Amino acid sequence: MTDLRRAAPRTSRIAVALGVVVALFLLAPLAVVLPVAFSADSFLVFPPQQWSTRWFTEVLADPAWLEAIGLSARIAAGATVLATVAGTAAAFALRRVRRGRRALRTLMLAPLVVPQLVLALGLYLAVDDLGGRAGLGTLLVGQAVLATPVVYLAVAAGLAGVDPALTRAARSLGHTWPSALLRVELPLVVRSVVGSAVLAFGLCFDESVLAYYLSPPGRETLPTRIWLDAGQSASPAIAAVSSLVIGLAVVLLGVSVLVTTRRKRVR
Amino acid sequence: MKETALERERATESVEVVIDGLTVHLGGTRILDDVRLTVPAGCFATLLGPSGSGKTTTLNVLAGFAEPTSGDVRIGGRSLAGVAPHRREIGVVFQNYALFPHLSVGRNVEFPLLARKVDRGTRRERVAEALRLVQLPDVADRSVRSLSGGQQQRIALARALVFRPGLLLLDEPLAALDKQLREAMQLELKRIQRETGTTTVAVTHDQVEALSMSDVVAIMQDGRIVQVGSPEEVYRRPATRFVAGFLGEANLLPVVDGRTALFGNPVDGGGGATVLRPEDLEVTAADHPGTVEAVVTDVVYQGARLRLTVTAERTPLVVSAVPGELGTRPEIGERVGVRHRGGELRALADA
Repeated sequence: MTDLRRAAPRTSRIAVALGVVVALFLLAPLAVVLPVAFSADSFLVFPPQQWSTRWFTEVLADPAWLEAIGLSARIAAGATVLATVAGTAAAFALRRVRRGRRALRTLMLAPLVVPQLVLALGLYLAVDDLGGRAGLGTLLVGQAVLATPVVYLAVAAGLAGVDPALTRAARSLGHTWPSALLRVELPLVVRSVVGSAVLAFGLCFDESVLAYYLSPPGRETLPTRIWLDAGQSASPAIAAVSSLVIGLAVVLLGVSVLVTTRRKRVR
Repeated sequence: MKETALERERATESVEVVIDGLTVHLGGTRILDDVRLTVPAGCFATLLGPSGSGKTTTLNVLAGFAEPTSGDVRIGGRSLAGVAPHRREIGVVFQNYALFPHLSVGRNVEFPLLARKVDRGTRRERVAEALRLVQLPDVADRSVRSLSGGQQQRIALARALVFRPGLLLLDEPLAALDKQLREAMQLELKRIQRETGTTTVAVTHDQVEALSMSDVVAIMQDGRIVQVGSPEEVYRRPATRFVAGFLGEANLLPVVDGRTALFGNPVDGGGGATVLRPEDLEVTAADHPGTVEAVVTDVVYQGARLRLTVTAERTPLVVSAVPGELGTRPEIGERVGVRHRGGELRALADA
């Protein structure tokens, strides 16, 4: 019985082969970047002639790189907080909306399809019109806009698994709707919230288009810094920084997956 | 003892519930049509009807999850019009229990007390009391998922009663349990309801459940209540063909000149038909004096009874017999006599 119910349809060989090809294609740049990062040479050469970790040490000792990393982290953290609050609130709100839910949902997902260039330009002009000056604050807000749909999607998916009767039960037992939300719904999707916040941070940390357009000269975030550096020099430091960014992304993705899948095991 | 103190307190808190002309329109369709029902204090009332009859909507209106288009509900004289669900003081046991999976059993039962700012010591006392009431005193620290279906049902009940609501609502309370457990829980629900004296409204589509648990049964059809009465009343003296057919097997016989067709028993009331339950009829040997001639067309052994279908003057009749009482078991095609065991008959309204 259980075996019949649980048996997943067999994956066809063609699908597996295609998957492997796509994965290889996506991972190919890593095969170049990672070895170069461990090069001992002074220039970007592939394959490296000698091996060392000197470029990592160099990058981590260079105040310019450290400042860029720190700035990226701070802006990403701020954007993550904004995106998590906005995305989670939207997911809860849209669960309660009856009319126009589909239109609102599409609107929530718009930042995923609007070209980032357009978003950057729009933000720049909007802030300018309002009499301000686009800067790091604008960048933070822009990145939050980009990350909000990610949080929204994850929390909405989590909420879809929460029985609406639970909310009604909480109400009938004497709790106001905010109390029911905080005591019942939120705890039941907290893993989705945390997991998507981690993803949002990763997304914002190496976001490059908005950062390139909106960060003021001299105050570059990491991706912009890499971009500028690549234009000036050809040192393996860039490969080392990139490897660090990739490493961070892998760690964050892992954390996010761990946080969100644990919940299923308990169920 | 604490339980008896609780009992006394509950008994004095029992309140009358009046459902006064509830009407619900939804997108042009009338889901409830002038539903009226008075449930006396401490009474167990059941709304019985097929799906789509409006019983669940009535329950949702009572709980405050749906707004009536018109009409009102009063609990102990207090109108619930415009009162938010969390201020209604109504305990609800949901069909799938709706226990909070992230909280322990004890925390689930404590949940309504948290909203009422009850201090911690009293909370603990009341939770223990409620768990004793449902005879699960030792599960407070367990997780909800570790409980069986029957236990979850009891916890849902404890949670709905711990804040001493004026009204308890049960939505298909036994539908999710298997048959044996269901029968045990019927008695258990009834006992708990009697012990607390909480006025209760249950919703079910199961006539056996309704008849065995309730003091009052209200049968619903197409958004209206078609008959209200004690279980015996609605079963023995159904008001309409629908009620007669919904509450178990019914032989509908035409009434001619105030007497039933075939048997010729006198019938009260002026309708064109009356109902004879299978157990009102008796099968005898053919040519037995005072019986109607019939031919057996079907025999089904059901354990406690033998369900016979016979045809008398082209009218099919279902007859209930006690296995063994007949001597030999009737065969299909056998000629037998059928007679009415006697008792009052009442004509059905034609609706």
